Amino acid sequence: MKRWMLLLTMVCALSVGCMAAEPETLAAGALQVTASFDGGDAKIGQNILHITVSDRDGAKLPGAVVTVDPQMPTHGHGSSETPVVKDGGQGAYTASPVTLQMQGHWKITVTATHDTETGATVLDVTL
Amino acid sequence: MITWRIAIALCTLLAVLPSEALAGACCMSSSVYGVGRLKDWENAAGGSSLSWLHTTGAWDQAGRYAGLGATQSDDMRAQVWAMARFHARGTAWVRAPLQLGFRSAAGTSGELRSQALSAGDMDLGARWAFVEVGEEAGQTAIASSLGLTVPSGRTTAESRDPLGADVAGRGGFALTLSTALERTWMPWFVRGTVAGSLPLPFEREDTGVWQRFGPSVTISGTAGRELWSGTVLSATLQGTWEGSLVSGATAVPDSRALLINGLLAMSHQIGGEWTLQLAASAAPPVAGWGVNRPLVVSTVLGVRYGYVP
Repeated sequence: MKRWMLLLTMVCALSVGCMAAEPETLAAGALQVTASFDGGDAKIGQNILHITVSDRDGAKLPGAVVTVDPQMPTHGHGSSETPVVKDGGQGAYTASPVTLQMQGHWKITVTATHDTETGATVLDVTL
Repeated sequence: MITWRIAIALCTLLAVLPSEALAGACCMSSSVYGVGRLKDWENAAGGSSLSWLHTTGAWDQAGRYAGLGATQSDDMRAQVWAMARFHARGTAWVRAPLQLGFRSAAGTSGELRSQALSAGDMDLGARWAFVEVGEEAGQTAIASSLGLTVPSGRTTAESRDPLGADVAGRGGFALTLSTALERTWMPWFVRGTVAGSLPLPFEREDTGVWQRFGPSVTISGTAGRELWSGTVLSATLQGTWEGSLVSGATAVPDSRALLINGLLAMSHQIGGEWTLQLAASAAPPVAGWGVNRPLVVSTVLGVRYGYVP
């Protein structure tokens, strides 16, 4: 019986499945924060994240303090690198490297603070 | 794919070999893989192994499998271990791994490659044999082990490598209690093992939040036989179920894990008290054989020395 189970296991090994990453954006807070990966999709390795920050009326806000925190909640750890955020002016920011060093479900939380107001967005990515 | 072909060949070999009588039951399965146990006449044993671990993909939280694609994730792991008898029925052991990680993935400007050497999590423990293998003919051997994993390996939060090639630890202590039953019908043996592991909470360096990995249960079944004097071949099917990770006081949704894999191992006495060990393990890359776990194909080459006073 054990030999049949092993053989069945080996036959199963011949087929391989795969799944594409599906980013999803959520928004919360007084400031509006949007974020998207350079090139559209996140990939395993180092990524660049384009971020925009605007007030509740939609006016772009330069000078905000923006942080990016990639975490793998189901694995209990974060990224192996800390992203550096640069202010490109006119409410546009760039975070790099956003390192997603392994496969699985990532939650990338982008938080912006400007004066006394804050806002955040969370990207759900499965690699 | 080559690993599976080797597995089929070894399984066939196991089934068709003649069953002439060989060495005693007491020593047949002692050194077939990993730390194992002491032979009746040994007071201590030690060894080292070199493993190559190749990650081919991963199962997500729904058990769907996806290949790694162009990304590379390989580890070479060297390990030293030692075991000593403190009582006729009791032995203590310690195991310390050293990991050389290789990673390649997309960088912000072209492909990024990295490699790093780091110490892994250390294991130590004690084994107590209630009925030792070969002690009484026709009786099932029973032994229990209590182990402690020490978080000596570098965690992701402590990583200094861009792709985490230096990550070799989970970050927390863990207690493991296991019981193994073994029966011998020369030249065959079968072994069933049940192990429960309880990770202890620890404070994450990056977030400051207390975290505890889920408790896990591992059930494994091994069948093996002595091919000829001093050479033993075995096959193991193993399943590990891990509960939800707890972050703060909250269980993280979809964080349960599962991994079912197979292992083939062979040991060969190369002279005196020296034994050579070979092993390979893998799992089928299909949905349902894992959850929240990478698929790692590993091959191991080890050497064991038994000390006889």
